[in-house]
Amino acid sequence: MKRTIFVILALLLAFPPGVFAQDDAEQEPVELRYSAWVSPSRQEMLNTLFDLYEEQNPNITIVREFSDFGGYWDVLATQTAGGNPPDLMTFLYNFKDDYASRGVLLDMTPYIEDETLDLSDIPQGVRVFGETGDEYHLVIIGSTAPALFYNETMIEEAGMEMPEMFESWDQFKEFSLELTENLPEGNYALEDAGRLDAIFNFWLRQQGKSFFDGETLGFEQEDLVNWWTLWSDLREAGAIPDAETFQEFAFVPTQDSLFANSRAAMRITNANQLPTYQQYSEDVFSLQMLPRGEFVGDYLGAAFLAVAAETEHPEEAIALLNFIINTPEAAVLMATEYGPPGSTAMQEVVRPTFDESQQKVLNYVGEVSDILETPVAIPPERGNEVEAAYLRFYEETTFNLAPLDDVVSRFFQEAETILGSDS
Amino acid sequence: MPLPESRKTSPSKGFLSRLDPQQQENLYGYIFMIPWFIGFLTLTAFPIFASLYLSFTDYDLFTSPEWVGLQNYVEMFTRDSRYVQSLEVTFRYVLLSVPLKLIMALLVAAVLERGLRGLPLYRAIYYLPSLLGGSVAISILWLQVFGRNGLFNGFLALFGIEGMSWIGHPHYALNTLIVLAVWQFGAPMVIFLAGLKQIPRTLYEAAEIDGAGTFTKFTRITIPLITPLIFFNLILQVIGSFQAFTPAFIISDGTGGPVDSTLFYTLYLYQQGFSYFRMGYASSMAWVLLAIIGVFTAINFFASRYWVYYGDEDR
Repeated sequence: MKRTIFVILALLLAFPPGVFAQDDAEQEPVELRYSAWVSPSRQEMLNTLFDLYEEQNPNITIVREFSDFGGYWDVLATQTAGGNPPDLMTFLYNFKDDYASRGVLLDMTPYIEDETLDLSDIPQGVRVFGETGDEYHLVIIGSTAPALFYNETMIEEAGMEMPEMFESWDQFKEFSLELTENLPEGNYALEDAGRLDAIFNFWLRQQGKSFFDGETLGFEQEDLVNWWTLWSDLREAGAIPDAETFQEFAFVPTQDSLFANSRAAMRITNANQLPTYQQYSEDVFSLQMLPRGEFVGDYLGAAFLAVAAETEHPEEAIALLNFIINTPEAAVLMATEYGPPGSTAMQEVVRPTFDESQQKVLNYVGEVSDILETPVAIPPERGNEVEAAYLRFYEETTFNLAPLDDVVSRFFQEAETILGSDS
Repeated sequence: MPLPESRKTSPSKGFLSRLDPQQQENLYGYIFMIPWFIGFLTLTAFPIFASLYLSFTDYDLFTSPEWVGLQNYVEMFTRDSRYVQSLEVTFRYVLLSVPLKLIMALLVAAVLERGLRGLPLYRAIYYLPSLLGGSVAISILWLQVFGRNGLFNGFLALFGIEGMSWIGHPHYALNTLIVLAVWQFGAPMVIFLAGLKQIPRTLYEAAEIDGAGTFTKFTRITIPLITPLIFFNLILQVIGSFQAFTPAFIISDGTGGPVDSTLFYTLYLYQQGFSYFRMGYASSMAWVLLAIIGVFTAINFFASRYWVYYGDEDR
């Protein structure tokens, strides 16, 4: 008897009850890889956000894979091709089809249905961006829209007054030319926006056209000539930088840009960038609608998060996603880094915490959301090659190496070659 | 290589016993080669043949390659204007930078060879750029040197000339890259230095007795005797400069700009492969580059018969 008890006790000591019970999944250390393109301020913000999350969830480590925007998609493509994408990827809408059609992105529908991923506060009009057919791939983390940034201080000093809104691009051009006369030597009325195919698209949409129309270009050679002539005229008058200065500042980070250094009074860029620019200057920066046209050209752009289809930790990845888009702490930290949060509930939470420039962004995006009409057409396959060609040919025009008509027709030839080939 | 201790066949290995001592020695050699050979097969030979296969396909990295036959090659030569541009840019770069580099290398080597005090120091200083030159850091530095507010313009300002942004102008951007290449003349220079030292002094002395001046000595003695080294450096530099990538990539921020003026062949290849996901097309570009370099090297070898003097033949 004694011996039996002794044996039982020994067994109990060696194998305490519960040792073979399933470990709580939460206790296993989990590593999630998160990739994003960042500026220094964004990197700081994300690090703080992730540190906070790691504190609240001690078993989770977030491996941060930050890079600058330039190489981001190359790296992501290579990682994906190697079967090794990050668990969470910051994403843009125009890349969605490339990746989703190849089954690289996790379908979040099951998580939405059982509400572990709560999208209820995200307006339907914005929520649809994440859909691909019956599946759901992208969750919005912030929305933005192109805006006209202007330096209030500089314009005041030039003795001019910024109209509340430009009723037409002609009015805008006139204003820019006048402003140039009143600015000190070496300063520009605005930064070159002719190079931005997105703004060209905006301008086209205001005329009922579009950069892409299905598999082809959605505009005529004449349209491009008119658009590029506008910018040539501005350049000739010294309202925008000349060719070499343009090259010099083409790839500089925010803090080195002409606008942030009060050398250009205006800049067309995405609204969410305003606080980032403001932090680098003593002047007062503000933003307003782009010049109006016949139709509404405005559109919402956004940054998204996607999860890798083959991730080893789908539940944890979704949990982190949910944290980012639905918790007040995350919303306050992210502020307007990616633009106002997608969730209307979070927008209300952060509004009182915003500083002046962040308020401006929030209000602006709200204004634009109210007037939206048609969404932007999805580019065809190899569309990004055409966009790269646009920039190259635009550069040619800045150097006045050939007549505008000639450059435009060559661009059309190249675009047709790219889009026409079956790939 | 030490001979195996025993020349008798080893009883324990039947196979070895059927080999003669020479064959046994060779066998050990092959066995030692196996690690390298595996590496060569998997990391060099296989990728090379894979890329040959891929050059006949359409491959976007995500989905399986799709066979398209010669379509990539046809597209390159008939429909791709940027391809022609990249050839122009690369040929300009090679045909300008290589001769300039070699001339610099030879001249500086000749000057140094005269026995300057502190020769090792000068040699190191001139060699250093060629060690660092292909790096990212130097390329970024070059942006500063030739930018609008860079060193070069500062130098010009001493003469009252106002310079522009050299790397930002399509007519001059490539030239800054050529200068960067020529700046790295140290590597061929060191080789020339070694070669110059081997020329017997007696030849020069004999020439001096006959009244030869510096120029004559240089052109009639020095140059002919180092033609093998010139040839060697020429081959290496041509091959290397066709493959130049990093400086163009950094200085143009990956665009090959402004206006494709710095679109090196390899840079365009990279764009096609990694920015546009056309790996099949990029592979075919790579093989055409191989053919081009092969042709140039063959021309060099063929021509060498006419101007390279090896000193052990009747001329």
